[in-house]
Amino acid sequence: MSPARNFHPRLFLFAAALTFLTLPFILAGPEFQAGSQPAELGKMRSIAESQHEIVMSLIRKKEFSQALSEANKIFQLNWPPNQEAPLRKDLLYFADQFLHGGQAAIGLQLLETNLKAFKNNASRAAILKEKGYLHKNMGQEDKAIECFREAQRLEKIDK
Amino acid sequence: MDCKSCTEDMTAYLDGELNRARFREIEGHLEGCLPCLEELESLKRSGRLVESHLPELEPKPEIWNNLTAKIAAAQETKRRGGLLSFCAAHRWKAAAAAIAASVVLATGLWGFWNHQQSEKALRQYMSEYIQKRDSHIHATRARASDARGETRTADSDHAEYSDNPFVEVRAEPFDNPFRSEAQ
Repeated sequence: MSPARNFHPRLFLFAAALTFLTLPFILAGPEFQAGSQPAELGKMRSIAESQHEIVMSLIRKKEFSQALSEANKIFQLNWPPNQEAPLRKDLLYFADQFLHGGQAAIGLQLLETNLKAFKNNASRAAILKEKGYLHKNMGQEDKAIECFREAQRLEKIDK
Repeated sequence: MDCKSCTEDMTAYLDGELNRARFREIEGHLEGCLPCLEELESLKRSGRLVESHLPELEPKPEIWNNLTAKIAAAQETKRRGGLLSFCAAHRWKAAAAAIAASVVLATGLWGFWNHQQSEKALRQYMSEYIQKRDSHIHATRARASDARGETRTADSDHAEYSDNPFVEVRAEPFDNPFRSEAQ
């Protein structure tokens, strides 16, 4: 058998082996690209899910300071960047819940503490707008304007 | 030296304004000329008379005020005349200065207008978000009120909630984002 005739099956075998070895990473997609193992991410999401329920329970019981402390624990976890969307949703939801409970100052504290966990401009703009809204509710017009100005600037960068 | 020349320089002689040679010439002439000596004495007497009446000649404050006003008016006239004469003499420089001033003014006006526009846009951006959030809060309160079995009036329904985009969007109660995505 000449070397030219043996070449194609060998190449095929090599490609198949390569695909087999890299398949788990390809299927893991963004989670792998973000540098977190799926199992670790699953664990973090499970913790966040429990924390969310704890925070909501504390808010219902009007234990707002404790709720703030528990909420902060969610955002202090070492999240990969692709988890910003649910985190942002949760952060804004908690801020809204604090506002409904007449605790705009605590909502503001929550947003200020956890803004640094967000790297995406759209997320930061959304949080800053909510921060501005809470400032407005507290009668702090100047601070509200500054927050909205920064949010507008970030949105312009993304456009 | 003749008497005419001596008389002409006599006041300067008395005031000590002459040079040494001229002073000696007049001094020599005065030693031998009685009329000129009398003229000199007369001048001296006049000087003493003026000095003795000097306090009475002190000008009144009104005179100084008038004088100051006239000086200021004269200076203003001179200044205006100076600018106009400068423009007439340096036309190109004046034109360049006028263009530069126009550019600076236009830049300032454009900057002001731009600032006004951006502030207006910011206010609009802010009010849109606030309106959106306020309507969401109204809707949430309405849902909470419904959940407690309280009855709202038809008017308040129509006025506050009919055009609320969040009533439809957030009809389902908010769920834990981590749970919903995990499932």
